[in-house]
Amino acid sequence: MNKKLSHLFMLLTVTASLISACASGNPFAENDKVNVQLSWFHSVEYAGFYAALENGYYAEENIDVTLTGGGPTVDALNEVNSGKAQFGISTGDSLIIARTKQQNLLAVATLFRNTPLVVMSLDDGNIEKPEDLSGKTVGVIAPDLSTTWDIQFLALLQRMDIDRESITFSAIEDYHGTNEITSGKVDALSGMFATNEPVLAGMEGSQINLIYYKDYGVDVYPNALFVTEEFATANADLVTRFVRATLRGYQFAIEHPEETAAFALKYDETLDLAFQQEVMKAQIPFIDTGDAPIGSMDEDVWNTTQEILLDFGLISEPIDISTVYTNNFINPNN
Amino acid sequence: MNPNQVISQSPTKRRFQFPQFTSLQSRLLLSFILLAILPVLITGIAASIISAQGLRTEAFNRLDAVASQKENEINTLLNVLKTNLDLISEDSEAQQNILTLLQNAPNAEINPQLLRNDLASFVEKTGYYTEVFILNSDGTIVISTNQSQEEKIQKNQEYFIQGLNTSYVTPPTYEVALSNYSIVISQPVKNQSGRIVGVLAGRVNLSTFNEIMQQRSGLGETAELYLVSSNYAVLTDLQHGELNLGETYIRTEGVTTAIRNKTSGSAIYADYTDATVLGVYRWIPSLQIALIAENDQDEALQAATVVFQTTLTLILVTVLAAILVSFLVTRSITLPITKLVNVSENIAQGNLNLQAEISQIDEIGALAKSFNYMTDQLFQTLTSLEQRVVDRTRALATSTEVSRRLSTILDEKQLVNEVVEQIKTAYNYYHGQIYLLDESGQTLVLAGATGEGGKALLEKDHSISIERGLVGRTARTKAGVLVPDTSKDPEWVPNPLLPETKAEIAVPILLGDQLLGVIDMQDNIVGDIYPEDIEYLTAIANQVAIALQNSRSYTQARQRAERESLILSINQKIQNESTVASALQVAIREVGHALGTSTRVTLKKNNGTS
Repeated sequence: MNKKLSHLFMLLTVTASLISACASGNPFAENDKVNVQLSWFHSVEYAGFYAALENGYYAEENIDVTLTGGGPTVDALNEVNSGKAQFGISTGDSLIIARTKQQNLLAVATLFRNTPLVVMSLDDGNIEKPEDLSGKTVGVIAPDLSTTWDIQFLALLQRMDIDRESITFSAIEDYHGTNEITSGKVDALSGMFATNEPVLAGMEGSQINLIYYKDYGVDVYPNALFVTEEFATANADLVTRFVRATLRGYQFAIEHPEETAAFALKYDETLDLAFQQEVMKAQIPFIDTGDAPIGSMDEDVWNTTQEILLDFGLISEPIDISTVYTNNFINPNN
Repeated sequence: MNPNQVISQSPTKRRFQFPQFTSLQSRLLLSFILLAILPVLITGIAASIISAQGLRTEAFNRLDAVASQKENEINTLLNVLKTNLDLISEDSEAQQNILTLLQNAPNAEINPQLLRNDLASFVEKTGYYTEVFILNSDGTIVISTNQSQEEKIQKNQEYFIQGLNTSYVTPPTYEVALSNYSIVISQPVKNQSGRIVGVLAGRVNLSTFNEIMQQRSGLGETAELYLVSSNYAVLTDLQHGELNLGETYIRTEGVTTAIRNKTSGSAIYADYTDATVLGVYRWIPSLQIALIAENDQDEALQAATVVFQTTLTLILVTVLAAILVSFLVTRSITLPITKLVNVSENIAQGNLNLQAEISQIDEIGALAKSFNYMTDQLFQTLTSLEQRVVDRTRALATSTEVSRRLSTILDEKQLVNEVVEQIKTAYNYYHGQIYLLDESGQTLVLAGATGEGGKALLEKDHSISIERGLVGRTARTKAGVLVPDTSKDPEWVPNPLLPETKAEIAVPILLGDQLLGVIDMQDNIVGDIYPEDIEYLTAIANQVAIALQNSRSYTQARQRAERESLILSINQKIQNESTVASALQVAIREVGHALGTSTRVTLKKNNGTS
């Protein structure tokens, strides 16, 4: 198309969206300003947020969105509780624990409908099922097994009646692919995201085997979108609009994985595009499981999460699980 | 300044004018082409629209029928699958083994491999399932035809939760461990006392549905049948695109409408390749998926396109034919007109001899005919006018010549003969004659005549009474008489010496009121003497009258002069005589001489008197 013409079309499109934006709300009202505290560093895991921003879905909902990257030292729960961020992303278990500490946080959607947690090993037939881990050395996240990922691995062992004493734990130092396995340091790596390290390993040509935690009764939402209960009550409309735009972004992401992966690089230029694209494709089945609307959560998963927390003494009393999450902000007709 | 002029010069008042087709040919051509194209165009477009509508309806009906058929096949398959699971329950040995396994009876040892084999043979027998497995009441897979699936905990899966109570079918679900979409059919397993002790489940790959969808019987080449999950993921193979299960999403109007509204219907929209399609969409509640049947609009409406193309071809042919026909017809109309125009232009330049060519019997032929008649009339009128001018000029010339000659001729006889000869020659008459009135005033004596007939008449001193014939009438009335056709005049008297006479004209020779004679001219052609000839001849006659008068005066004057001269010479001779007698002698001799007679003069002596 002629360049001038395409500029004109762009102008028209922008004008049209401005008009529709004005028409959908009070034209004199200022946009809602929202800060989102991500659970980890910028990456294509947050593809839906990028797509919603880049495609103007938030703008259409009259929301100005800022995405704040996370990291090891950032606690999304604190950021949201303190009011620095209105929306946060964290694991399902942390939200239940927070509830027991009178931090009334509410999950309004999940980015992944299944946990992508896996035990990764080489596909040499040695380790195919959890019971095969007995007598092996397994890489873990923290030496004291205190992180949520380690606890979920322990929960897996417990569910499969595997004696944790039969396994040698070794804190992972080199997260790059299957490095620690091929070097002989460990036999398997726990706490891996099927959407991350195994993707890299696959790209590097390693033949790997994955044991999905969720197949053995350990299913915890790894990246639930949450707000404070007060915020949800006071700004129900804003939350609805925000969730709608975000999930629309995720729908766009799964339909346009390569395009969306490129968006991630706008937030962290050090990211590798090819890797982000493969990650995006790998996480499609976690975003869209096919049997329910994307972003929606199942009570059973929350119950499983609470069971694990009770089993490991991280909470002492069960809570009413319906207070921790709601699908009410998700329009099934996205 | 004239205000009207100002208005007419104002540019704002200038009106739009249609292009002027000044030539008859171009106007006829345009009319012919328009007349030829319009009906074909209207009929063609109408036919295209009607056939397109018919084809569209037909295509939609076909798609609808196929969609219904496929939906039925899918539901039938689901029923078959459920029934097949029942078969396991009905196999008492297998059932026994399953219950033993599920109830963990410590004293009843069973061989799981045997049961696995039983289930595998069942899988093989039905041909639909890829995996059949049994979950205990905790949701753990206790046995599966796919051994790697055993021990997995599925207590959160809908097929387990629902399967504990009733027969259940999952929507197509992506199983990451199997890297595939599949549906799971489950039903409760009850022990002898009717207590639910587990769930029997079978996994069916989408390839089974794919096979159903790929049998596109009764659909066109570009037709397409596929299934889409409630999250827009494509579940079966695409005709025009690559399918990466779990990565390919389609969000066309048909898909979106079916999924959002959970409805069935049809529409025309752009498909995933952006081609316009006729689409029928079905919401299949049992699987929570959409079934899409699409047919490329261009293909479906191909027949209509053929109609349209045929119309275009027809229009083209018609235009060519119209151009040819109108060219020929226009030529047949304008060519004679152009010829007429040429002829009339020539006539305008004075060329009256030309005749328009009459090659048609139509109105233009009639026009040419009457045009020719008009030209002919014009030509004749002009020619007769010219003739009259020639005649008048000749008459004038004759008149001039006659008067010139008359002034030089003093001899009456010669004069009359000259005049009659002049007139005859100038007017190309057959015969001419002049009668002079004698002293009695009752008889006209022929004085001059032409030709042999004339000579003969002159020789016998022809004369006629003024009471007789045409000449007599002229003399009596002292007015010119014209008999264009002698055979039709009762008064006319034929002369045997002039047998060819057919027309006659006579004018009086008048000097004042005194009749001197009559000029009579005869022609051997009926109607060849014109009334105006009376005028011309009268003018000549008037001059002849003067000339006759002159001639007579001259003769009298000469005679008197001669007499006086004789008297004078006699006087002189007498005076020369010295004697009376001799003088008398001389006088007598001379008088006698003069009188031409030998007069004998007798002198008598008388005393002084004689």
